Amino acid sequence: MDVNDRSGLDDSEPPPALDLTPRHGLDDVDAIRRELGKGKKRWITVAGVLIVFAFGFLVVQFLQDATVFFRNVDQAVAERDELGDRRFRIQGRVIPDSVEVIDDVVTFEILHGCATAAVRHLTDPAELFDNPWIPVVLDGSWKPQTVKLVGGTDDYVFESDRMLINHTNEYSSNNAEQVESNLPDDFLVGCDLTRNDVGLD
Amino acid sequence: MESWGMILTGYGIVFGALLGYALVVLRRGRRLVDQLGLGELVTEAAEVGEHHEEPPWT
Amino acid sequence: MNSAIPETTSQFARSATASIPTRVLGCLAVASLAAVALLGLVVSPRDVNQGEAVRFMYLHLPVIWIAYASFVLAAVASALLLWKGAARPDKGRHYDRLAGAAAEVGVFFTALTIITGAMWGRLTWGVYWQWDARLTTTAIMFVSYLGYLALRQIPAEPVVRSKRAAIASLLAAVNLPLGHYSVDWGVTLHQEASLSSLSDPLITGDMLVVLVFSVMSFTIVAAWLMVHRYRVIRLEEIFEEEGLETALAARRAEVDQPGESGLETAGAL
Repeated sequence: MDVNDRSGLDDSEPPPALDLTPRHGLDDVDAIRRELGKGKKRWITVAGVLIVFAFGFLVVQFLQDATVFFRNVDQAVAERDELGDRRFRIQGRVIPDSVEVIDDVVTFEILHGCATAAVRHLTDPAELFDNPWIPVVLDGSWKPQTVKLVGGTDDYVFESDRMLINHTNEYSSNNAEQVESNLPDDFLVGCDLTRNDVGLD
Repeated sequence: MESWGMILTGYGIVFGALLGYALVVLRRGRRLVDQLGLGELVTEAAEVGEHHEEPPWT
Repeated sequence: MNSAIPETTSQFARSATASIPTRVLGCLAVASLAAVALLGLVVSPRDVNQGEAVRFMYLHLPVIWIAYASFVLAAVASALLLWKGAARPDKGRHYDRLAGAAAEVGVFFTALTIITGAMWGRLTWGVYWQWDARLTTTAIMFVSYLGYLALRQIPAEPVVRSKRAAIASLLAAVNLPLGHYSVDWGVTLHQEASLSSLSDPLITGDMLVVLVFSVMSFTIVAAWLMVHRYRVIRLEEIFEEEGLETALAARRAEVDQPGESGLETAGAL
């Protein structure tokens, strides 16, 4: 299109004058307020977009992973067929007498809800792992292997490569007596396992 | 020892951040007072006939 | 205070947002924080399981308590603004300032919560961060209140802005119970509350005393910060109003004397 082509214009009409009226009414306070805040608006828009994205990402994380962070040993054993060789997190208390270290591989048993599971942990254990009956969360999967457990034998071992300590909400400065009570009194209530089985008596 | 390093860093961050935030708030208050002319000398403000108001917390 | 300031300087010029009560509160805050450092780092015993890492409890629990309390205060002030603000605009402005100050202090303490929690987590869990329900809802809380603060900055007519912010504050507050009770509702790595009841605490004597003292100290600090922040918001409002008045005057002058930009004059304020 030729911008100089004025054929369509009626030369008898004067060209439109430049708009010299004020940008807003004299007392249009809102318009002036917006004008004053123009510079501010740019960074708020950038911040707003970032915040919306961060919010969306976090909500997705929450819905995906957060509500069920781990399965307790009894659940993980009951759902073994369903879980197959899929990765998941398992939680239980480490039976102190079961811990063995051979060639950087730590093997032990964990206990929760009257069920036990054998664990083969392939990386460095967490710092607080040495505490008796410490609850741990392990990342890994079931592997077929016949193993001996405190309550009998099992055809699966949980192979993990990541260990988190699931410390409790109890705090104490007391010594050995407190260590003993790290395992709640009712932990074995209703189980076939006895205190003797797990090395408590 | 790793624990102590982390603990001291944590305490340092918290107390440092509190100090930093407090200073930012105080300085912003002071700057606004200056910009609004509330920090001018009373006599000077009176000489030029400026309105000199003080907020209710003084 | 600078002794060189002449006698004729007004009291306000020297003190800005301070007053005698806030100075007392400030001294108390500094002294009690020093005591927290001493008690938390030296006097408190080791925990039988966590060892020295338990010292993070004296930071982490108080800062999250302040964060929650600040957001609840912001929500209450926002609700009052929506409820009573229309009938009493002066009260409305007061509630808006209170909500703004509380939310900003809350965001600051949430950031401290996340930092101290991550460091404590590294020492105890073995990791800085996990997408666990409590941690994720805390991050959501942080981001949603950042959004609230950004919303407050959008230039608009004060009544409109304060109403918009109040609604956002109430929406953000929905996440508060979800976050706090996530450890009870979900299967989480984060432990449950240790201090849900003072009559049956899960923390033994000496540690409990240090923790309660620390909570009180951080509350004093937060109160001091909130009062000053409230007053700064008041000053910001005065500044904005004066800027607006100058801009309006400049506009009128622009009409009288075409060719000069009044807004440029206003921008130079």
